[in-house]
Amino acid sequence: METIYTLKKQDLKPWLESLAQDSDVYVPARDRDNSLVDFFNLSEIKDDLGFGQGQEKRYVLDLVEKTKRSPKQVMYPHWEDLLDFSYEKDPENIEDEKIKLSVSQEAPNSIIFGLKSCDCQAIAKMDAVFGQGIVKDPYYMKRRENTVLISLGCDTVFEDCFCTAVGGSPYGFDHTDLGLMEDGDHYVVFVYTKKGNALAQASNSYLAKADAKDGQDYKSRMQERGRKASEKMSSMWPKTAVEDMAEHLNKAFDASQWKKVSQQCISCGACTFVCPTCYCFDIRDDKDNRQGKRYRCWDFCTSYLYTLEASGHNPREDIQKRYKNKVNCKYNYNFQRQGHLYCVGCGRCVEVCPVDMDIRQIVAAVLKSKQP
Amino acid sequence: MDKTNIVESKHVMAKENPYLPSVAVVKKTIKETPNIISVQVMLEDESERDSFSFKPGQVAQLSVFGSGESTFVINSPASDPSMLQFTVMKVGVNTTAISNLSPGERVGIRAPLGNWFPCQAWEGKKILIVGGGIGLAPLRPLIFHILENRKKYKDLTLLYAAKTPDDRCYKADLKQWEASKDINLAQTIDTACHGWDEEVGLCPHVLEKMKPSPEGTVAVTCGPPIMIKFTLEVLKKLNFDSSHVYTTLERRMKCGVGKCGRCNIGEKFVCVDGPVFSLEELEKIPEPFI
Amino acid sequence: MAKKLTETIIAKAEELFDQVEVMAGYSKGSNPLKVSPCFIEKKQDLDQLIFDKLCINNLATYAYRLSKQVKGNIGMVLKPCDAKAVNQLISEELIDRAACKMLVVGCAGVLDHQKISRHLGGARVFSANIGPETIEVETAEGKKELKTADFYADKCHWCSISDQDMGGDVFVENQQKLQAPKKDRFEDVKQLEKLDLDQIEAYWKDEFSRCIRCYACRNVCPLEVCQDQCIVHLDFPNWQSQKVVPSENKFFQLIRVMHLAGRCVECGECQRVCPQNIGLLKMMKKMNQQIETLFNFTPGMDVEAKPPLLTYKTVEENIEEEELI
Repeated sequence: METIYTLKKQDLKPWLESLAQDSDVYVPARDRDNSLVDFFNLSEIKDDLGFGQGQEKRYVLDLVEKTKRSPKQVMYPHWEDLLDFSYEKDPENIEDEKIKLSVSQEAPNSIIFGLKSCDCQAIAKMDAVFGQGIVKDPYYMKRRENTVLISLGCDTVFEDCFCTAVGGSPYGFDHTDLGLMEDGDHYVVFVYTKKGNALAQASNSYLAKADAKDGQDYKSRMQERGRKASEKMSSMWPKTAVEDMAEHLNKAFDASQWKKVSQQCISCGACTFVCPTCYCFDIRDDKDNRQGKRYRCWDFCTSYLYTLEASGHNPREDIQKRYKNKVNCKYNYNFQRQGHLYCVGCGRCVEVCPVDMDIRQIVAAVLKSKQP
Repeated sequence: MDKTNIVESKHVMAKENPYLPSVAVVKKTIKETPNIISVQVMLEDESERDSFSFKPGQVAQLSVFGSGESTFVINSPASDPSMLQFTVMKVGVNTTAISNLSPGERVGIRAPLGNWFPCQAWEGKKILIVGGGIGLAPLRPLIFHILENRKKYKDLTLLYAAKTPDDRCYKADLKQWEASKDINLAQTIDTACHGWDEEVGLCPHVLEKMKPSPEGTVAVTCGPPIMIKFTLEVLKKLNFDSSHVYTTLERRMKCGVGKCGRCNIGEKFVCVDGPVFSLEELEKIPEPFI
Repeated sequence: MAKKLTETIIAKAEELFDQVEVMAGYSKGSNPLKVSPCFIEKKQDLDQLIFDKLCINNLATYAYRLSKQVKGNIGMVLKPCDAKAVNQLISEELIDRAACKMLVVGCAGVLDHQKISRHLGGARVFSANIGPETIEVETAEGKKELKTADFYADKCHWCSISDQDMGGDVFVENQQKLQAPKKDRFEDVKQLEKLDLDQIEAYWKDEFSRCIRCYACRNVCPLEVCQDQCIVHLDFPNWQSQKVVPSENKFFQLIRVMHLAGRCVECGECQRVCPQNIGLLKMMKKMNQQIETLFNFTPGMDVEAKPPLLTYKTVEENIEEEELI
C-alpha cells in the first residue's frame, strides 16, 4: 500500500460530494448558530455548508478544531433498535398468543472524513470491544465494516489535549484507511489499508498519484511533521508510563485521595457521552400496546442508577466508588482486559465537565498519593 | 478452573446475534414464598430445544417482552435441559412481570451465559454448600448434579438459611433431601418460631457452630450480599483455603456477553468471567465484590 | 483586588469553621480560566480558597447532597445569586436553615470561561490576568487583551439582587460593584415569541436534536434533589423513552421546567453546563415570568415564603377560573 496521492485543496469539496453519492460522508463542521463543531452528514447540510471562512452559511467546514462529540456515534449510535417484537394471536387457537421477533438494521456505507488521530485510535479500541471477546456484536460490526476512515494529521494543541501522554501521537495514522497531511495548496494522501486503496482508486478524478521520488519526500515530511507535533504536545504533558498505570492504580485503589478528587462530581453523563472510547450501554424495551422494540442506549457509569439492583442493593452507591470505577476502567481494567488504555487523550471529558474535573490531574494526584 | 470458551458449548448463544432471544413457553409456575415464584419454561422451537444444554451455575437473560430483560440463574437440573426453571423475587418491574406470568405465555431467553461450577474438578472431594434465601437457586442445579453423580463425590452437606420457615424456597426439594442419606441437610431460620425444631440463628453463626472440616472440602456459598460476606469470613476462620471456596455473584447485567460493560467488578465481567468465582480470584481484585 | 477579597473570605471562613464540618468553596481550577469547587474539612486547608471573577459555579448544587452526607453543619461560599438557591431549598424544607452556614460574598459579576475559550478558538491558555476592564491572556500565539465586559455570564447582565438581601450568616463585602452591561432579561424570550408557533416548534426541534441526554442540566441544578429517583428513568410506568430523539428530549426538558415552576432561581447553571449549547434558560425564564405574573412570586428571596405551587388557595387572585359546567 505504498501508493501516495495528492489532492488539490480546491478539489476537496467536489471529491467529498462525489463520495457522498454512494455513502454517508461525515465531515467536521461548525454550526454557526450555536458555535458547536460536530461531525455532520454531508448530504444533510450540503446546501448550508461553506468550505471557507468567508462564506455566510450556517455550517462551515472546520478541519482544525476538535469536535465536541466524538465520531463514535457513526458506528455506535446513541441508541439503536436491537429487535422488534409483537404479540400475535394464533388464528387457530385464539387463546394462544405467540411472539414474533424480527431484526432489521441499517448499515449504510459511511465515510468519516477529517478524523483526528485520537479519534481514530478510539475507533480501534471500540473495534476491540465489539469485535473481539466471546462473541462479536453484529450491530456494531456491520456498521464498522461499511465505514471508511479518513484522517487528517493534527498540528494544533488545544487546551485539553494530551494524546502523547497516553501513547498517541498527532500524526498516528495506524488505524486509519487514508491519512491526509495538509501541504500548501494541496493535501497529501497516504493509503494504509485495502479499504483506503479502493477508495483512492475510485477517486482517480480528484486524487493524483505522486511519483516515487515525491512520495518519498512526502513521507519523510509527514514523519517530520508528526515528530514536531508530538514534541509540541509532549512539552506540555510528560509521557506517563502507560504499561505501569494499571499496576499503580491497583496499588492506589484504597488511596485516601479518591474522596477528595471525586466529591465534586455531580454524577452526570457529559464526560461519558463525549468520550470516544466509552462503550457502556443499557438495554430497554419500549412497548406500545401489543408490539414494541428492544433497544440499546448509551449509559453512564457515574449514575447512581447504573449499578442499582432491583433488590435495592447498590454496589457503588456513592460517587467516590463510581468515579473510582470510571478512572480505573479507563486506565486499569481495560488495560488488563484488552491491553490498551481506554483513553486517547482527546480531552473532551475535561472540556465539558461542568465542575472542572480534569482526569489527567486526578490520575496524577491519585498515583502520587498511593498510600491509603 | 474450567475455562472452556462458552461459544464452544452447544447452545443458542452460538447464534450470530447474541441479543436475539429464543422464545420459550411458560409451562408451570410455583409459588415458593409469598414474594418468590419459580417459573418453568420450555424453548418453543423444537430444534433449539433439542440442541440446548447448560451447566450448573450458568445464567440466562429472561425477558417478558415490553418489560425488559433480567438475569437469572437456570436452577433446574442440567441433566434435563428441555425444561428450564427460574426463580424470581418480586422486587422490580421485570420480576413483577415474570411473577405474573401464567402457563402458555411467551418469554424470551438468552442462554446459557457465563461460566459454571467446576464440578469435574471437585470430584473426589467433600462438598459444603451454604445458601441463604433465594440464594439457593444457583446452588440447586449443583446439588442435583452431585446427587446424580453421587459416587464421584464424598460427603455433601447443605446449610440452608432463611428468615422464617415460610421464606424457604424449594420446600419439596428440602423435604426430599431431609429424608435422603445422600445429603446432610441443616436448616436455620433467623428467629425461633413455633413448630420449628431445626437450627435458629444467622447463617454464618450456625456455620461457625457446625465447624465443618476444611480437609478435602470445597465450600460453595450464595445468598444476600451481607450473608455471603460473613459466610466467607467464617470459612476463612475455619481455615478453608480461598482456592476451595466458591461463590456466585450478581451484578446488574445487560448484554450478558461482555460488551455492555455494566457488570464489572474490577477488571472482571460477571457475565463472562463469572458468575462463579473462587474466593482466590476475588481476593485478587481490588474492588470489593460485596 | 481579588487577592484582598480572597484573604477576607479565608479569614471569615476561619471564623465560621468551628461551627461546620465541611466548607464548600472555590479553589484553583485545572486551567487559568477555570475554578474548581472544593470541600474543605480541615481548618488548615482553608487557604486553598479563592474568589475571583471566574467563580461562576453555583455551589448550592452541593447543598442538599452535603447536608445528607455530613452529620454536622455545612458551610458554603456563595454569591448572592447562589444564596437564592439555598434560600429556596430552606423554604422548601429540603435543608435545615440552622445546619447551613452561608458565607455570602458580594459580587461584581462573574465571567463565563467558555465564552473566553470559544473566543480564543479553544487554544491552550498559559496564564490569565483578569481585571475589571480587561482580561490579559497568554496563549501559544502570545499575549492578548480582551474586554472583560464581553465575557460576563448571561445572568449578570440582568442581575438585580442587592447584596444585603442575601446576607446569609456572614457577609463579605466586595469593593467592586457589578460591572456587567445591563441587558433585558427577557430579550431572547421576546425574540422567540415574535415567531409563529410553527417556527417556535422548529426552533426547539433544532435545539433538542442536539441534546445528548447527559443530564448535566438536571444534575447541576441545586433544586433538582431527586435526580437519583428521577421520573425519566422510571421503568414503570415507562413515562420516558431513553431513545435520544428531539421529541423525547423536549419532553424531558418540559418535565424539568414543570418541576422547577416556582422554584427556579435562574442561576443559569443548566444552560452553562450543557455540552451542546442548548438555550435551556429560555424555557426557565418563560416559566418564571408566568409565576411572577400569576403569583407575584420570585423564588429564593424569602426563606419564610411558601412557594406558590406548594400551597393551595381556594381563590387565586390572578387566575380567572373557567366556569365548570
